[in-house]
Amino acid sequence: MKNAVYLVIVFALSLAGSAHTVVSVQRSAATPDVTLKAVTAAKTFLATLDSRQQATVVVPLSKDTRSRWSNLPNGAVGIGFQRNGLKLGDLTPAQQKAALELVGASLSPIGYQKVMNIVNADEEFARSRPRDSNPARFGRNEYFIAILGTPSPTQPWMIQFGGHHLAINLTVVGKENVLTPSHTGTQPASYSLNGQTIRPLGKENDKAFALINALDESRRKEAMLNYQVPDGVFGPGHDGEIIQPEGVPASKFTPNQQAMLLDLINEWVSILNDAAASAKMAEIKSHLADTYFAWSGQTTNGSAAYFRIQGPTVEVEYAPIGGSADHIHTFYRDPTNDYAAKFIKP
Amino acid sequence: MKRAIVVVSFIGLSSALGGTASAHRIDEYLQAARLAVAPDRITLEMDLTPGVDVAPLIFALINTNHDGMISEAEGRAYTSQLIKEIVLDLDGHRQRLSLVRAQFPSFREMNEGVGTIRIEAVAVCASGPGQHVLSYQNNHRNDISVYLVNALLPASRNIEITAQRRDPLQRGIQLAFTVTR
Repeated sequence: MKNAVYLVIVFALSLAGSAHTVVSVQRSAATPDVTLKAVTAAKTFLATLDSRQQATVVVPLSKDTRSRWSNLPNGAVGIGFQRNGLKLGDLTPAQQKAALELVGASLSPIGYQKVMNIVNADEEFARSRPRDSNPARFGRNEYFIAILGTPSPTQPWMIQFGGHHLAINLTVVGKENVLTPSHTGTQPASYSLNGQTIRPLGKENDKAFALINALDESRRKEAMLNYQVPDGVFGPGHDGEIIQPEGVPASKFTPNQQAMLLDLINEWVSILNDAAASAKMAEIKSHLADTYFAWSGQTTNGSAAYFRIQGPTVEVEYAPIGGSADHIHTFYRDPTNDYAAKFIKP
Repeated sequence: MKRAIVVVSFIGLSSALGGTASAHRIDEYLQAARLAVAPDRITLEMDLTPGVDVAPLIFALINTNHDGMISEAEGRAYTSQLIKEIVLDLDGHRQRLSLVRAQFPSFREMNEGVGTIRIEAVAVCASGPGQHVLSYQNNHRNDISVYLVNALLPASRNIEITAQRRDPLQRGIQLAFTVTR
């Protein structure tokens, strides 16, 4: 219980204004406030670190470093695998606060809350799991923050914040803020914190069940995959892969069903700051007719059902693991723009 | 026919590729396959991740001399057996899969349920203009496995996948595709 209170305090502090010196950033006419805000927060965070920590948290931006993310907990990710950057558990409270302010400055308030709900779910999981010999480490202290490249209002750089069930990969290229590929997940799917029930991916779950049940029988039948999907297919290690779409195209949906699909997709897109998320949603909407919705499993809310959304510029996957609705992995990709490929020339 | 080059490397796969296992599996052997259809070949990529409880069994299957290390010969023997248990037919004709590469994790990684064996194999076969049906069936360790099989979007604009049909457990898939020229 003491830990739970502490987490809430940290979360509240991270949304409050910074007590640290704010590093000024040169404003370019084309650079939006969100990018400047992220650059400022990154520089402020770096200013709290000593030189050794800075050398660890800042890594070159490359094909190898940017793809270093995972859904797995630390210690169980493989002997040689190491997430980029520094973990929260190795930072002082002031450094943690600045790190989380960087994450908050780069995302929307809703997105930041979702991220912290996932982190807190893992803290809950760490507390409730039985002690065993598994070397995997869980909990809030096991989340890593990294800056790939140099924070800049004009040049490409990245923020990574991740740990078990979380991989925020935000690429910033001038005014462009790109969140793909990213991973959200949770176990447990629901927990109680300070008397409140928290469901980190509850909206994703509920909106998807609402959509599948809003389809008429023929459309629902078309959406149904007649096979089990025991795991995700868009996860780490699958950069650049595009699978053949399946399910029902949104061109066959009514306007209301199309709006429900967009609202569902927005649960992933809106993790990003509002300006970038609005632009991304407009792009997805422009390709909506070619966007497919596929479902595997029961259609009663609470069931462990898998769904996938696949369009020209969006891929979303929601996968219950081990047949359990209490253990969820989701992946969000853009086959044309993972890691801001459209904006970074090789 | 030019034989596919066989390269078997034995490194800690997770360390090379980051966390590629996408679940914390316990008592199942996850076999995830991807099929790529090209005008002159079918490429099969597989990620095989034994869960914690079945990892010793799979490791013992590979590490036949029980020295705790997977040798090149043991890796080749296992992948050869695996490929033999995969049936790949194009228009009703069995295709011969040749191993291109294989990577094995350490026993420790497998023992934690996060070690993924990754293989790539290819069947060299021409698909001329017209309609075709590709059938894939994985018969490897059906007693303990769960499966994923997906077709990659063809890189060639001349190939279009027109239908996909899987069995309920995803052990197999039938792909109908057309080649325009």
